[in-house]
Formats: sequence, structure tokens, C-alpha cells
Amino acid sequence: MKKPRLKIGVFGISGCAGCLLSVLFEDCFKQIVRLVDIKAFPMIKEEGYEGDFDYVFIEGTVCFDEDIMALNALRKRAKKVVALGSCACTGGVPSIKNFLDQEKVMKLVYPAHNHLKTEPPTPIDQHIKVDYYLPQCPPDKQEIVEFIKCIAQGREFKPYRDPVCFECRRKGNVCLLTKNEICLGPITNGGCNALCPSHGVTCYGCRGACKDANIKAYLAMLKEMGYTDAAMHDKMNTFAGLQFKEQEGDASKWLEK
Amino acid sequence: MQKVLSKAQFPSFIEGLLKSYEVYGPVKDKNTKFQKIGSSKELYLDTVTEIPAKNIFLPEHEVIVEFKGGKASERQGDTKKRVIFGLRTCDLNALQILDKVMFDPLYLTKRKNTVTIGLFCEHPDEFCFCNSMELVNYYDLFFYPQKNEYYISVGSAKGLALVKGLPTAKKEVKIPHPLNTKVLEEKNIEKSYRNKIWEADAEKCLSCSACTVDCPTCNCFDIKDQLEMNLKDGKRSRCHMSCQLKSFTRVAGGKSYRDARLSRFKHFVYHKLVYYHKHQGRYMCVGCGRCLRVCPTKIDWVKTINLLDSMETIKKKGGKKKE
Repeated sequence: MKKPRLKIGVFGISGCAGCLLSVLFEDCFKQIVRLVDIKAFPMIKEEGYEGDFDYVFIEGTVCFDEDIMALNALRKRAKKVVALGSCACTGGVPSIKNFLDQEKVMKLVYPAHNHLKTEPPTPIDQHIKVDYYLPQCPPDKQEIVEFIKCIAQGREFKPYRDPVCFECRRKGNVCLLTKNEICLGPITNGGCNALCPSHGVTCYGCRGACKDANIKAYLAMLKEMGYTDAAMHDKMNTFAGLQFKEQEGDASKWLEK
Repeated sequence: MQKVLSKAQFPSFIEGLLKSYEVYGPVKDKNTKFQKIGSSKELYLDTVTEIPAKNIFLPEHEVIVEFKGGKASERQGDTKKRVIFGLRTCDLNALQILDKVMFDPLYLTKRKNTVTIGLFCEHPDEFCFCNSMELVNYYDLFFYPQKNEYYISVGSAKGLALVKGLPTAKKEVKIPHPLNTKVLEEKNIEKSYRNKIWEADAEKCLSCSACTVDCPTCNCFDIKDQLEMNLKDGKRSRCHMSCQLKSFTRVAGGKSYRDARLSRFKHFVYHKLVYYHKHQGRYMCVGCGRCLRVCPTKIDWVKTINLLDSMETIKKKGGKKKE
């Protein structure tokens, strides 16, 4: 008996829609529709489908009350939820607001629209249960295809949990830390095949904090390189500030007994 | 037996090799590594390379089995004739260490079809400590530069075939040890596994895996499957892995046996100096210093071992404690 094809939905909340676009690129979209049915994808077609989903991909950060309502509604319709992109997984660029004066930012960004009521931006897993994460800004098309292959076959998807440095060193890149640049490679999850460092650009941590990261030693190293606390944290807050902050809190307990 | 080649003739010697072999040698690009060369001008012979020669035999990513139409076919080894020039004594010993543990046809075929040419290390740096590691002679040919000539020691018939036409040296020259100053003292580190001294190093460790990736003898690998879109055909490949990562010892159910950074860090040192020695009778470390050179937080485990309590020092061969 042939297995019924999985029903997929691709949605976005507050975000730039870049992750949705990644799904839509030819080399990704054409591949995944061979294995699964995309039942709803409001970015390309207004939603007419009312039923349930097997998997729902969600892009974006929670910035408004409306976002939370949309998330709860999607969670009810989905068996599994996949956070798509840095914003959904770690808070992404919008989460920088958490580290700034909320009112000042509001006035700076929306001088004329002070009727908008925004919340401090948070990743979606602070509001609903998330089963899988596909981070990166924008998400890797190849990784989305791999994920779809896994679920279509009924295999468990194995997330990549090693630091960026591992892939970077294997590619034989010159370490950017030796050039005295702040590269977040040692404390960031890999899986991107060290995309930025391979092009001479430092890692900004868009795949989120590596669970195994030794943040205490990393900060001590940057200090020795001559960076101030503010400079290091500005860099760390770019994409995954919330996660790094959480881990830094645990950093005192670094030695697992 | 030693042969002699004048330095002026060296370029034409390499050109001669290029006619019938794929020649690899140290090249300075973004960093220094062993790479296929097209002429002797590309060679960079001043320092030990940053990236070791193991990558020629154990590529970072290598397909081992292909699945198609329900059948699996194993990849055959690469039978191209190769010469690697410019291997230092440490690089050559690293190959011997790999030869003792790698048994798969992909590695063996490549290795069998390769001639290794060593080069005396004239400029060891402050990280090199190869003199402490009991290195042996393991080469097909070995070049020792003297004023205007290279004295070439012949180590095998494979090597001899390349230098048959060259004149034999009238008087053989003894090849000295490289002049490095760093020393790894002989300590009974097996007994010091629980010594608190390791904690300071592990505290600094980022677990970035740079030490293992650039180590010429680290050969741990992971097996990865890649499926085609029809979910039936695919490839199985071998890629480098590192004991410094948590995922290295992760098993089904999510348990990982070396969870603590401290135990992962110590495993690297102890595998090099204790575990391999028990099975193969020699150190797995060749003293090239690459792990110390690339460490972003400048961890120096050699210094740490030297700092170990002198009570734990053993005599070189007796194995008894010194008073």
C-alpha cells in the first residue's frame, strides 16, 4: 500500500518573507513538491484550505498579539510545527530590540505610527511547542529539501549540533580569529557548511547558539584580543542574542561533572 | 644508499617526475597545504604546512558506496600514480601511523600507488617538538639539503626507481635531528588522568575541533548517507569527525559518552600518548605542533604535561618512579 502524501503548510508571521522565498526558489520548490503536497502557502496563493496539516513551516518572530493568535491557530491545525529561519528559531534580527530601550526604538522606527503596540520580539517556541528547527538567515534550501526527504520517508530528522568551526576548518579556511576579527564560529551551530567564513566574512551566529558552546572561554579570548564587552555583545546580539544570553547565564556551570 | 642532486638540477628533477606522476607538494595559497602542482616553482618549502598531508589519502568527504536500483556498488580505490614531495619527518611518521590503522581498499590503493619524498626540516618553529616523539625513518626518498646539493637517502625500491640515474654519494651524510627547542618531557601521564591540572586547559577549550582537523594522525570519521529525490538511490560517504565534539560519542537515544568538555579534551591527549601506544608500541603524536599552532585559545597541553608533578616522572625505559 502506498503511503498517503504528507500535507504541508508554509506560513509566515512578522518577518521579511525571505525564508518563505527560500522555499519558493526553483531548486527547492520543484524538488519538494515531488514528495509532499503543499496544501497552503499564503505567500503564493490565498488560503482556501481549511483542513489539518501534517507539518506546518512557520517563518518570523512574535512581535504583536496578532502573531500569538495566528501561532495558536496554526498549532491546532498541525501535527508537527517546524520553525523556519533564524527569526522563528532564535528571534533573529528583530530580537536585537530586547537589548535596547523599547520606547526609543519605537520612536525611531515609527515616528508617526504610535498606535502600533509591539511586544519585545521572541522566537516562536516561547509561545507554542516547536518540533523541528531549520535555522539560518535565510534557511539553506538544501537543508529544507533534506528535511522533506526525511519526513517523506518517515525517518527522524537529525539536526546539526556542532560548531561552525568544525566545518570551516575541514574546508581549510584561514581562521578569522587569527586576523583579530570577532567571528562567532566557535559558539554557533554549524550545518551551513561555513558559508560566511568561506567567503572571508565572520560568522554572525544566524544558526543559533551551539548547545556545547564554551561562552565563558570565548569571551575571555575576545577580551584578550582587545575587544570591549559592548563590542562582543553587539555582535552576539545580531541574530541569536536571546540564546547566547541564556547560555551565558549558565556559563558559570561550564564544567559538567 | 645516498644519491646526490645539485640544487640547480632540482627543477628539472621535478619536471621529470611530472611527466609520469601526479606530483603533490607544499603550496602557499591562503594557507600552506599539500596540493597538486604543475611546476617546481609552486613549491613552498620554508615551513611545516598548516594543513597536513593526510587529506590526500583521507579526503574531508569521500563516497564509499553507491546505491542504485536496489544494488550497492563499492567505490574502487584511486590508482593514479602519485608522488608527494616535501613531507617532513613528522608528516612521514604520521603516514606510518595511519598505515597501521587504516585498512580499507580506498586508502590502501591510494597509499600503494604513492611515492613519498621527505625533506629535512630546516626551519622548525616554537611549536615543533618532534625530537621528543621517537620518530623513525619511514620514507621512499629523503632529501637533505647541503650547500649546493641535496643528499638523497633511499628508503625503498619504489623510491630508488625515481633516482636511478643520479650519481651515488661518495661519502654518506648523516641526517641530524631538526633543531627544535620545545620538549615534551617523559611523564607517567596514565597515572595523572585525574590530576586537577587538566581542568585549566579544558576550561579554555572551545571544542572547536581545530586541533583534530589539522592533526596529521587524527583519522576518526563519520558515515553519512545522502539520498536522491526518488528516496531509493543514494550515496554513502565517509567524512572527517572529531572527538572534541559532543556528537562524536552520541548513540541512539541521545546519550553521549564523553559529555564533559574535560573528558573530551583529555581523550585527545591520552589517545595520542597512551591508548595508541598500548596497541601499536609507539606514540600517535608526531610532534608537528599543528594542534598548538591552530588553537584559538592557545592551549598548550605539552606545557601542561611538563608541569605535571615530577613525582610522576618515570625513567625512560625502566618504567619505575624516580625518587
